[in-house]
Amino acid sequence: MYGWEMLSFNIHDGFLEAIVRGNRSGLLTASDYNNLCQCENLDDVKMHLTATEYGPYLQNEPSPLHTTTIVEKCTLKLVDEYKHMLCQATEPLSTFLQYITYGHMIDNVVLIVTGTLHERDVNELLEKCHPLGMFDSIASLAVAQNMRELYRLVLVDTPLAPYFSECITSEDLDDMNIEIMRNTLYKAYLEDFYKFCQKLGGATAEIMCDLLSFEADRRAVNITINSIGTELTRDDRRKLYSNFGLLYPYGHEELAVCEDVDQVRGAMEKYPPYQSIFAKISYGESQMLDKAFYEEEVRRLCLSFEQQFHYAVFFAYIRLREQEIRNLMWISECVAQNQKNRVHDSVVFMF
Amino acid sequence: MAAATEEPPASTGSVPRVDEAEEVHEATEGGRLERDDDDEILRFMDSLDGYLLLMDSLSSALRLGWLDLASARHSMGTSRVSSTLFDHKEQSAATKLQVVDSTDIQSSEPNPYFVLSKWHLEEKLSSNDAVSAQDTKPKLRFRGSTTAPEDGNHQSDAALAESSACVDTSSHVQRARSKALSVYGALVSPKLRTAQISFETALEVIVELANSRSNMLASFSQIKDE
Repeated sequence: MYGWEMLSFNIHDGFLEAIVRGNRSGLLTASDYNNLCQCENLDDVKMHLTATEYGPYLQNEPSPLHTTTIVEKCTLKLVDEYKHMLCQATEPLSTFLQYITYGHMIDNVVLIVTGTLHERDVNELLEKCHPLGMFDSIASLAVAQNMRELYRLVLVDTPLAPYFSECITSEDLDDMNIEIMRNTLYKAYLEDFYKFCQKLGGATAEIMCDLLSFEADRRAVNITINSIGTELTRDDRRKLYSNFGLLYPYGHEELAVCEDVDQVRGAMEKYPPYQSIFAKISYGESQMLDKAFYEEEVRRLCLSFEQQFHYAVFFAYIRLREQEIRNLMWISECVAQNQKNRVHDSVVFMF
Repeated sequence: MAAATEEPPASTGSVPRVDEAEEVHEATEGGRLERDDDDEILRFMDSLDGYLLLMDSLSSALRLGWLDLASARHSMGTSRVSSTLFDHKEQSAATKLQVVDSTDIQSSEPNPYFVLSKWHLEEKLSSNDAVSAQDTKPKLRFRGSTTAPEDGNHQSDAALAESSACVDTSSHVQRARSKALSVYGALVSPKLRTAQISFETALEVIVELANSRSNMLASFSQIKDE
């Protein structure tokens, strides 16, 4: 133990750590996934999920079922568990739990702004927002014409306000500006979360800083690969990378000038933790890269449960549930499209 | 008398020859008609085979496209890849389908025929033609080396113009594809781009299918008439 957490952690946070470790045992196992992968249709998937902790959320859904319905109901379970933990948390755990949801808040802001740009109905957009990222004045985002108005009218009273200082301009919102805004906000959020975890110190700081560094590095790789062949300049690309992580700063310099996936591989293979990830995929291929990164993330998240008296278990549990929901989404899509031979392309097993 | 007696043998000898000739002619005509029938049936069977192959190809392209779309949704998140983000603003169609009807006087095709024009390529090509038409106006002669042949210059200029036109067209198509995908954001997963290519291929196959079906139905109606 680093800061004598064993002496004082359980006073305020022991109950919730026990809750989250109990919830962790409810995650789907390999045998659950094997059963789900053999389902013939979505009703079979629903039947198998009814026997798990998702049962109460899915049992009343009428047939025919849709994959988006399965994802929505499973997400509701995660939201209920999160709210149960948040309402019983004290500082600094409550702030830590809120930090976990700021990423979804950023995604919701971008969804509303993009949808408004495309002249979509606000109510329709609100239904698609992630429930963990909702805040009171989110519907007012639809009236903003540029980032300055976005900040002044709505976001100044939200936890995202401090992250806007780097991207406030009077330029009108278009697809590229919105994308830059999304990634700039997420960069600022990750750096802020990193500093907060460092301030907490102890095992929380050690484990969370490792997890957030991995997140920052993965985002850098995704931004690089997704921006190949687009109008995003090298300088703009470099500005979207976070200022921490294993790749900072030399790896970022190499990634900023990459023009294809093989150059990205060349830049990443210099770092041993990522050499093993890129060893799993063949040259010129990027399809399986996502799965390789998810597998590494799940490995690190599962390891965080091996230690006690720290907050990283809460972060790890939320992320593992999100991965589980992604797995269920992929299995449902493969079953619905009658492509069960591809089901293992993207399912990541846990524990 | 001899001439009178000679004529009847001549007349009796020519009637069987005429009958034989008629029989041969009828047999030839019948054989030709049968060969035409066989040709028509073979044509119909070939077009049916081509149609079934195209159906198979369409099914593969669509399956691949839908799976890639699901894969993109898995990678980018369900909120980033959904129909909620489709653009409802007025915009011109990037891809057009021209139907050339058989009743059209200018049509050289006997059956209805479909032509696909993707990513505003027709307008792009017509604008290139306008530019190249302007380029054919007489230019200043190069007062450089006298040993360089003019024909060689013209050929290399034509080759350069053709290659630059090809590069121009492919970059235009690339820009049009990126613009279509920008509803999901400016930085999208490569899986979404792969899905787009698959659906584009499926659209081309659908048009080929329509033309193939048109030919097939025409062959079938000809066989039925016969």
